[in-house]
Amino acid sequence: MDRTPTSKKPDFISNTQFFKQVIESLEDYAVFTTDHKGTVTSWNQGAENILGYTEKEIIGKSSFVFFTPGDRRNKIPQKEIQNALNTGSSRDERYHLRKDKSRFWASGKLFLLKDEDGKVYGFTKIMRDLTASKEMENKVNKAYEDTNNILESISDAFVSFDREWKYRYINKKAAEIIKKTKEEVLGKSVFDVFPNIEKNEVFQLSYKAWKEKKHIKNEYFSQAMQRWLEANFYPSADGGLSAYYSDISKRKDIEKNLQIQAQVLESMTEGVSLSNSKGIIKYTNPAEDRIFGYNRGELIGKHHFIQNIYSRRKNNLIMGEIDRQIEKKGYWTGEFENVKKDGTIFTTFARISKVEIDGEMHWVCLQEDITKRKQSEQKLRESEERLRLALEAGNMGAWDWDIANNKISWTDKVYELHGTKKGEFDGSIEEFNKLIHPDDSNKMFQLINGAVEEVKPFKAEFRVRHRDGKVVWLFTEALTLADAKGKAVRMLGVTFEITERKNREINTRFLSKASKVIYSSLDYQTTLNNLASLAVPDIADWCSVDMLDENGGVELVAVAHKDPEKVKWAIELRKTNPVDMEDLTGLPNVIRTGQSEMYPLVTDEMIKLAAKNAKQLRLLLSIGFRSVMIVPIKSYDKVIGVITFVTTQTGRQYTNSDLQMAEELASRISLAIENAKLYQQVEQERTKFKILYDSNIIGVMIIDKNNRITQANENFLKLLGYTNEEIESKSLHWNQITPHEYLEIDEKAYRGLKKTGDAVTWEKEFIKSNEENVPVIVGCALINKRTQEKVAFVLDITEQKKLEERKDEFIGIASHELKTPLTSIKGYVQILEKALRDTNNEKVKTLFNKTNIYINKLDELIIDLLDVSKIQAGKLQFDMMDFNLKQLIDDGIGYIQAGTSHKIILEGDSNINIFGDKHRLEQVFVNLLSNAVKYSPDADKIKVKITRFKDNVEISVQDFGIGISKKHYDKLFQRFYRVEKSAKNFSGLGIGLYISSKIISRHGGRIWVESELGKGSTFYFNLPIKKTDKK
Amino acid sequence: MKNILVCDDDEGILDVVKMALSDEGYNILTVRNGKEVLKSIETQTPDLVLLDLWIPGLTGEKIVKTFKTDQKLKHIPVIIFSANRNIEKIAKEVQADGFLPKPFDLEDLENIIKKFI
Repeated sequence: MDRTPTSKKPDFISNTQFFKQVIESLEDYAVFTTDHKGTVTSWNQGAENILGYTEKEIIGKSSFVFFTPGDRRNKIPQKEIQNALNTGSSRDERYHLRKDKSRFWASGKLFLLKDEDGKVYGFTKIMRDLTASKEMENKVNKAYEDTNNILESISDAFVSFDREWKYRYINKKAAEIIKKTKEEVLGKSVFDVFPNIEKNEVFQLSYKAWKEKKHIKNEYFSQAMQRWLEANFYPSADGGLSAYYSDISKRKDIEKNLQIQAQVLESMTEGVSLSNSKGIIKYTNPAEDRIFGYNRGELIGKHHFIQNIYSRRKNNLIMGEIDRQIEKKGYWTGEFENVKKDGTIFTTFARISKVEIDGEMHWVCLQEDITKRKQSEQKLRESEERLRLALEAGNMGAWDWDIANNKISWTDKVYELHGTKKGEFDGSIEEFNKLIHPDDSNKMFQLINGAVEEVKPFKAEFRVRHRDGKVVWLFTEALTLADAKGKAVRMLGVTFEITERKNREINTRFLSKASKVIYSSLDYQTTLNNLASLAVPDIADWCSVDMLDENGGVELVAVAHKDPEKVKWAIELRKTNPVDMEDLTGLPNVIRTGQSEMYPLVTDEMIKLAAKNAKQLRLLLSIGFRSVMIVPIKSYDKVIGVITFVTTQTGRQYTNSDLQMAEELASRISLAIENAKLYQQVEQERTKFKILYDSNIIGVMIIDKNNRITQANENFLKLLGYTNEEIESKSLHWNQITPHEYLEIDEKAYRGLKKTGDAVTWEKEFIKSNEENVPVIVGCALINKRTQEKVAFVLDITEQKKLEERKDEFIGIASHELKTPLTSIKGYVQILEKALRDTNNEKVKTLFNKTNIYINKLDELIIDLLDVSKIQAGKLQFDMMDFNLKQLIDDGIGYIQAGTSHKIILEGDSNINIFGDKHRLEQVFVNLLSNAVKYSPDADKIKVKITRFKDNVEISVQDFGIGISKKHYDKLFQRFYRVEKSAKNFSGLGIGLYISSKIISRHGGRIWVESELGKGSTFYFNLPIKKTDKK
Repeated sequence: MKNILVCDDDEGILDVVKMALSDEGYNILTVRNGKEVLKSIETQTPDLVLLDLWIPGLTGEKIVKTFKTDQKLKHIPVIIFSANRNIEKIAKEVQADGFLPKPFDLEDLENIIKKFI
């Protein structure tokens, strides 16, 4: 290619070796030059490759051959050259022809070749075979076209904007939507087309998608189109945005429908379930879950058989039946006994049908819990039943009075209650009035009129008289209904019989009145008469009382009759028809058995059987018995009389409750009679006591539980100098009139009284009103254990006491006076003994000894007597000191042992310190020892025992002699007491033990005896041990 | 010879005591009541007094007191005798020098007198 078209102009290609090499290497590019006419002047390898001409073949030939004939006809080659000359270069893309005349798509650019002067001498063309890319482009174009067609044809809108929001593309639908032509918008900014678009929400979204370079999808309802649209905004790579709008109104409608359906299902109170042909539950609505007690959705996947209580077999049978029904009429309805998750059984009403889903048959079941309805149905049935039963049980009738038309409708029962029949009662209020007992009629109609006028409920108790004369008590209660003006138009009510209750009321009233009568008088003859009168006419038409007389017969003691004139007749009747006590029934039988008799309804047959003869029969029939009761009156379980109640034709018919009342009355009468008898007895006792009380032989007082004197007789008052006023004001108290030193004794006596309940007597003193003391014997007994009220008898023993004092004084003087000569006697005897001492006469010595013993004995007796008198005078003195018991015991035993053959045996340690009067205590011990010797003449021993206890020492002297009976134990220690039997055989004054007991008690000790007759006695005494000596 | 004044209202006792003690060599003067005791001691002071407690007029107790409170008579032993059981106590109280319960053994009488004279 080093050849140049002209010699003068250097060839660009040949001159520039470097470029030449580059151009040669560009095998994909055809590069050639032409002269200004288009004749080829150079050729590269690429040109050969692309156009098929070799350098040789084409140099010097016109480059126009490369153009298609069409292009050549249209002078395209010339135009291209001209265009290049005008603008400096020319560019084209068109089909070109190869050497073999095949066409290829090529792009080419034509440059001017200028010489050094700038004069154009040729052209360079660079051409590229674009066939491959052209094919691609064609495909793209086709695709584009297709897309375009699609976009144009679709019902969705499509718009594309460039980066400056200019319409780049808009499809037909979109143009339609915005009501513009494509031409109106393409290439224009959306902001110009829609100046206010920035405010549009959908635009804002698209703007957001553009700005944030992300896809945004949105569904919205277009007001302009009245359609639901789905908008998709896609930012494009070149900074533009494509918007795709599809009409989703249909989908939305479907969705909405679905949503509504779902809402309906979810909100239904009926349960809905869907299960497949195998019975597996696929869907449940919330109500279904709730009805069956499952959590939401918990039933899904379970078999629907678990929802009911039936067995699998039964379920299959049911399903079969359901299937048949559905075949026949498209659905099945019925009740199911179902079970909840927690096991509760309940009933549903179900409607089942079939539906095909995804080619599979499904059961659709809609059901409703009707347990409550069932229950209320049941309740309603029950309450209706109850009402019916109540009416029936209550023996009630119902009635309806149409006030305006004056027409009363009755149920059968009401007819029966009024003692009439259908057809005999015309239903008018006037006719109704005729049925009411005349005594109740006025009151009844006042009530009815009141209820009608005031339109208020109404109730009444009234009597009706049946045709057979029977009087029946009825109760009726009604509601009054008014019309719109408030005028009563109708009354609805129920009526039932209350005869029994009324009679019971009458009975009760009678009983209470009768009780007053019974208890008002203690004279029972009067009582019975009053009673019989009281029974007539409420209880009986005729009432009589018979009392048993001493001969076993009866005597009519009281009679009352409804008709006063018949009283005489009744008495007369009894005289002419005396009671035959041999009769098997009636009054004689009641007396015999003590059992009541009742004949609720006396029939003529019964009278015929009872009558003894024709005359009596006629008489009895003429009385017209209706009902009879005969009741015994008893006293302490023995029949003492009989009370008879009779009603005649118009009267009432006795019932068991009447009999109960009659028996109750009889028992009250019995009680009253018993009371009267008791009262008489008490009265007699009272009289006896009163005589004693009033006779003033003895003082009597009544003391309350607080030892207050509440009552006292004259004798008592006189004795103590108090007044009746002081007693009545209850200011006098036992303790107040008792010297201090006697309170303890009194207390002891009261305790005994309380403990044993037996009367007690004791000696004491009272303080008189003049403050002198008066010695008395008091006997006291409980009147009432509960109230602790006591009666006390008081006997003045002042005289006895004075006598005793004189006696004791006498004894004192006498014993002193006795001692004086005894002293002389003793002296003389001793002088005599001394004078005769030397005679050595044994007999004389013996005589002196014996004389001395008896002098000593006499001395002891005198000493004892003196002691007694001193004790009585309270002048016995004690010389208390500390001493050892051992010396006392040893001395005492020594003293007695010397004068007896009994062996005195000592047991126990007597080495104990005592505080007391040693001589007095020795006197006691010696007394017990000498008694032991004295009363056991045949025994050979006496046991003395010393026992030491914690606080005291006990000394006992036991003999084995005659013994003492228990009844003498206490009295032994009394003054001058001697056991009778022994008194004959044993000498003594009976004062030794008395003195001993006084001495021991003064030492704070106790003396007592235990003995057995014939075996001997043991006397004990104890003494407190001096505290310091306690071990 | 010792003089003993014996006072008792009982003739028998005075007789017995006189007999018994005279034999023992005492000179016995007997009186029947308190006044006589006081009268007697005015003329002759006894070596010992034997006094019954229960005597008419002045009681034995008062007489003992008279003796024991009188300086001139204080030294004279007074022995009381009585049927009263509490004689020992009384003797102590009235400050008698000795006592003798009635009835007594003559031996005891002699012994107690010997104790003092």
